[in-house]
Amino acid sequence: MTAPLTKSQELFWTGQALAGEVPLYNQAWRFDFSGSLERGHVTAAFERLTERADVLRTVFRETEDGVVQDVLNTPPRSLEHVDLSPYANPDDKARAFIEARSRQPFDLDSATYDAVLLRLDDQRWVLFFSQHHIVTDAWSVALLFEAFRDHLESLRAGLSMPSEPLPAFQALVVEERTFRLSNESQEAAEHWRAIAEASAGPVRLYNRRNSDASPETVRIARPLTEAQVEGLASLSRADGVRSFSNHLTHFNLFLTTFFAYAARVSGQRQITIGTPAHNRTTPALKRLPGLLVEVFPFAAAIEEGETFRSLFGKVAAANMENMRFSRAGAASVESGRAFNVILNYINATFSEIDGLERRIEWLSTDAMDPGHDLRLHVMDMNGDGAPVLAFDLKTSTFPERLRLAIPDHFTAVLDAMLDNFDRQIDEVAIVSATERTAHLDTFNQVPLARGGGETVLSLFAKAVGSSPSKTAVTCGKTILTFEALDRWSDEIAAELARMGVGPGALVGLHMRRSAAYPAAVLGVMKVGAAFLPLDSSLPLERLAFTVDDADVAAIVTEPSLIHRLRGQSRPVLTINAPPAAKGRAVLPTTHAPMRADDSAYVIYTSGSTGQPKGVEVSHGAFASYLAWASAVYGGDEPVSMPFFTAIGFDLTLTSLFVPLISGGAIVVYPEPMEGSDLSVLDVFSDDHVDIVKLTPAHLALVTEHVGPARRIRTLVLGGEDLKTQLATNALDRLGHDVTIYNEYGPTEAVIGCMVHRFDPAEDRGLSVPIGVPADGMCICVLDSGMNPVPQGVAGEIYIGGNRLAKGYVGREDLTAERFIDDPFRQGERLYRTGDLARFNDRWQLDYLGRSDRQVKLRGVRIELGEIEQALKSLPDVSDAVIIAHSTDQGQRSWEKSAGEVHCTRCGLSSDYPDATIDAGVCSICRELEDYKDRAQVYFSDMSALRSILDDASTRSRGDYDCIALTSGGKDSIYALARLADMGPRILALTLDNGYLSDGAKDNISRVTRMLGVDHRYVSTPAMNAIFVDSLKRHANVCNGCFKTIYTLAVQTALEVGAPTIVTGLSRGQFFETRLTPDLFKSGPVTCGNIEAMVLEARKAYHRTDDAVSAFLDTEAFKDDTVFDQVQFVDFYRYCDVSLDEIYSFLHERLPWKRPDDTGRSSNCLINDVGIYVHKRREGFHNYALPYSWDVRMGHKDREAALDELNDDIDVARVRRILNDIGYDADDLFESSADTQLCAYVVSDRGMSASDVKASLKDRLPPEMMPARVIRIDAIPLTANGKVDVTALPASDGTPTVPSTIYRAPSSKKEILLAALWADVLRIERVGVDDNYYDLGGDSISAIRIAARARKDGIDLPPALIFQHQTVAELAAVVGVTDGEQVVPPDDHDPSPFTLAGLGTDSFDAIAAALGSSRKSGS
Amino acid sequence: MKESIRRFISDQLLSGTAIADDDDLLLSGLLDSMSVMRLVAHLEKAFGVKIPPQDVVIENFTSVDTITAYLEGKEAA
Repeated sequence: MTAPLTKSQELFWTGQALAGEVPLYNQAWRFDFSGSLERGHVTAAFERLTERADVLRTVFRETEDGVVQDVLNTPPRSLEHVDLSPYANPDDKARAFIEARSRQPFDLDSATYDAVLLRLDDQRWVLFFSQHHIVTDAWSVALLFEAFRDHLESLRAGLSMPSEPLPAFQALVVEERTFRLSNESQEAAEHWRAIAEASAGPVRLYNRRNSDASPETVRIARPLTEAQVEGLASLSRADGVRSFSNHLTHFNLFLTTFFAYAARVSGQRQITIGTPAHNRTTPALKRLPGLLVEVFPFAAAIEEGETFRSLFGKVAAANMENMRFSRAGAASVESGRAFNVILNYINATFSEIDGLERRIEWLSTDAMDPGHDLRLHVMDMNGDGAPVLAFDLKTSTFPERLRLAIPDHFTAVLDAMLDNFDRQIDEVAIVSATERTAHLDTFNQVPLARGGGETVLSLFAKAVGSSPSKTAVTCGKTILTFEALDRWSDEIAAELARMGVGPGALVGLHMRRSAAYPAAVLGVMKVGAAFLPLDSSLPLERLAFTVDDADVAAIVTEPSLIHRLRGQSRPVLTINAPPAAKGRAVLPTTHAPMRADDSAYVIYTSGSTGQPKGVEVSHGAFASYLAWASAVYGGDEPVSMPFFTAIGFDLTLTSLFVPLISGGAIVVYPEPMEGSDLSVLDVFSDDHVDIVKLTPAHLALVTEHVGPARRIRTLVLGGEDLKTQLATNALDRLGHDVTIYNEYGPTEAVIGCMVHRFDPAEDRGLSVPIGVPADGMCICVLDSGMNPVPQGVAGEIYIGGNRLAKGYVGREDLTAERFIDDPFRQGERLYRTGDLARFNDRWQLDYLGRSDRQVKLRGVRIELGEIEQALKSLPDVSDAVIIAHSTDQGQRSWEKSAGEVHCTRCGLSSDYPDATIDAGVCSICRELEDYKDRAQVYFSDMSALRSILDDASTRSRGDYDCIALTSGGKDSIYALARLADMGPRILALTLDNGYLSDGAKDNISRVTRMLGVDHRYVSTPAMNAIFVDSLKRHANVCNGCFKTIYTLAVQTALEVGAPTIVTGLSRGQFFETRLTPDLFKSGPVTCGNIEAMVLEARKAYHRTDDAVSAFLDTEAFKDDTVFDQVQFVDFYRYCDVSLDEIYSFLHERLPWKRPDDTGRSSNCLINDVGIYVHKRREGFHNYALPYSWDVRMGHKDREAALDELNDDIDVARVRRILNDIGYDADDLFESSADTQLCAYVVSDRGMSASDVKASLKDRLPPEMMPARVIRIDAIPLTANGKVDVTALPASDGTPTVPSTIYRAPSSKKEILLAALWADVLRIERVGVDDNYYDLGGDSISAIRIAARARKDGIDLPPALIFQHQTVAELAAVVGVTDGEQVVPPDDHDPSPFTLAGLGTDSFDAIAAALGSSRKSGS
Repeated sequence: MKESIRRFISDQLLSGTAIADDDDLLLSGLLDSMSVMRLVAHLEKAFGVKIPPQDVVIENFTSVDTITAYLEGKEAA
């Protein structure tokens, strides 16, 4: 009897075909019997079983119509016997035997089971029984076991065995087919499809990624303890938990535990898992041996504050819903891709046997589907009432330490649930005692703090004493020796003392960067007071607030800033120049010796409640940090550092004091009186220091503009997340002997409390780790229940140790909230950072961002709430919300660009970068006119093809004359059919890349069958790696796929002795890649020329190192002879046929169906991924050019091409596939991200964006100014009353409040400039009257615009943008270079500014000339 | 109501096995979890009621009688 396969069987058959010899689906069982047993009885009982159960006699074979199953009349194999009783250790022997035997692959066409009776001794027997999953499930085995039991008991009682057949599995095949056609089936399939589609992708347990195709697993089994069994039983009886079935209640409780566990160790809130369902929905199915189980996706959202009880409620409801749709045949490949973890609750029960003890064990073969990371089986095969938890763990995903920890973590969650059902899931302690020690103790085993008992002043005094005449500060022409600096600071101290400032006071320093600043800082300290930096760019209102809030005793300032302090009632000391060399100020005698507890400084940081807050730091903590920094970064040697960042930024303190205490020098880079601060570029071009401390934003600027460094040896990065790519680029640019340190530390933990030395070889993550604690510091990462998190799991950083700030000035409440009692070390404090991090495999911390609404922009931390408060305080603003959003290049280009036009001939988009459209026609169409005729030499007719094939038949060394590459698409199928007509011996070859559509496969199978052509699929396990490589190299998947096809085709040709490979490349593809205009520019071209060129290109192509050469055997290509042995023949060189002809041929002559399962005329389901990635990365559609060629060749009409390029891509699906193939999607979605603040304001009075900005300027420092202001009618809210971010208009979209009416650019220069602005500022369109600032422009953007303009031949010093703030004004003054020649502006005389005034390469000139009030460095 | 519930259980869930209104459907093993869930879905659709998971307990679903009583109680409420 022959039958087709059920859907589930088809999945197993395909899975096994892909897995080869790996025992992925062996279902192996061990039945231990003790008591007296007759071997003959067992043999007979088993034999009768094989006669009664058709599934045991079922075998599979491939036919032309696909795979079928046959039921044999006689059992394919009988029970084997092995007597182990002669051995000394029969138990060990049995274990080894069974382990080996259970992993033996099945030959599905001869038998699908294996059975052996092992004799251990007279009283102990083991029945080993194994089946391929394609015919069985646990329930089925229990049914077979029951029948076997009946046989055995009959024999033992001297009765005859039952002989009527067991229910036939083949009947189900019919039933399942019927079900699949029913409405109910449609409904069920829809249910599972919806869950699968909503899946947020794989669960990344411990941030581990499923990265290879290895099926290898390890099983770790844990029986539940008695306490757990009791706990489960009593919870199952509770109201609100219990149900009509204990199994159902237990299943729901394990689901709850599993979801809670998965959420906790992945940090994900939307979790989709797989849950097998037995699908035995009728009494008949319950009696049917065979495969019915299917795995369905099960999703749950674990929200913040979720308790076990609330999650249980959701899970139970979802389960109720899901169970309605559990029917054999409802699962699909797609629904199976929605999960990588499985909870398998098995409720099969096995019969007892009269007079015999039996133990039942389901064995692991240590292999599972490679896409799965964890399967947890909950099973009680023996009916003991104590389930066993068996964890199958993918070994390449989880290192051994995690494999051992996972069962502990899971049971910790289970215990927490049993202990208190109302416990918040986020607060459950997961880690074991060992892990706790590793986290809290081992990780924090760092040397004790340095600089004990010292203060900055005592350290400075030592430097003065040892080298009084060495340079301490240089600032332009001003040079201060240590002695002079000491003297000057004495003088300032004396002045302050005269003004009544003494120990314990706080002195504001409202100064610019200068040589006077370090003197002032030291002077303040010398009088026993603490200093408070007040940046020169602070808005007046904020300056006044800070001075009052901190209640400063006096303010030190300089003449140029004194006007900003008018109206201040506090004493002001203005300092001018260093004192004369002679004489020495006498310090007041009241000056008491400094204690470690005394305050050294106060620095204000952004506060979430709307007001900034002052962080107060003691001398002891400050000195300890400096001693550590000096040792780590400078090796305790005298080092020079540049003073180039804002004084109010605590990062600057490192640059000021490490030189002073080490005996090195501070090199001062004064800030410009006005405008943008680009001193960092000078620091690197001067190269006069040893160590530079800077932010990643600085470094990005530096790597764009500066060459190798000679003196600068060390970079200390701080202030924000450092991307690995940036660090790598910096080393490439500055030299690989430069050392980069990534320092982490909030102001509250005194500048830096963790550090990591960047190692380009080891640090391969997206961001450089923040490393390990600095000396004397103690770091832990805790969950919301204050428990240490496991390695790989995100939590919040808490900082302890000897260098915490004293607290917030005048804010005891806030201090108590953020500086808490250390729960792990009595009497110590912990600072709660709000920063998220997790441990990597090397026990270093990786920084992950903020847990709250704080953002870091160019190193400055900003509380969004503070900006919102400032906005709401404006009289005409009734409500406001600030969003910090990533504007990344890809995101913008994903949208259609505003001015997109299409060539009127071929439809090519103006977004395509390598062509221009003029008067409606693209440059490619124009060029083609010129050489199209000459290109005809490359084409020939079918008679030429015939002679090539004739020749091939003489050269063939085997059964085939040619290999025809057959993708299943119209071109390749047409070519194949025409080829077949010509009579050569053809082997059609298709690459199965894992994403070939079913439609394409069906077409191939129908057509090749009809044509009588042999067909083969080729594939490679490295396909995913090749896709990833192709995406990285070419931003598409096609290149990798093509190269794989060619490579495997050549291998196959060599193997079967075929001398030719026929491709279905279209004429458009020839023009796109071979018949380029350049080819025809230099004189006449012959067909031979082109062929030679193509051949050379092909050789180079196959010899390029990439994933294909790494994973496939490309040895043959090293030798030229292969290109003689196997010749590529492009069918469409010989056949000129229109699209209509192809379609009508396919329609009339062949059983080819137009594909409908990919949404466009493509056979490949991964194609979308390539398109998506390409658009995001390159900003245009990768099919734009190929389709335009199809149109030019007349193989597609223009409208159809445009329509097909107008994709609607399912991004969730793309993300899923990217995850499946192992492409780091984060990289794609986050790279080149640039955060910008966008304000959404509700203003009834109609304030314009510029009005809002102008009003904010007095209240907020420049770095907190929103880049964009968008007016909306009301703030959209979610159901929970939170701001609905998704409902806000896009910040670069049209709903912005234009301060001007849009006027389109008209002259060529205006168009160019407007496009440049739009590009750099990442907005859709720029009108010629739009103001640069209003568009969100700043100095960094100006530099970018300038650089881009230069490429486009426009000489545009950045300074000009600030002087002429609209495109219209700018176009009037800039010149266009034409080689060396300067073309004057359209209608103006050249401005003196344009070119001569400012060398565009001189950045100090740019900086000086920049008209912005923004700065980059703070 | 009783008649229609009995018929659904007998025809759709038990492949035609006849049942009495006081037959124990759960402890006897006649209906398992999946069948009960299909029954719940049917009842919700047929009688326009919403049956929350915490109501799907043994005392409500043990027989055609108790199911009817439960549904009538719901309607009365």
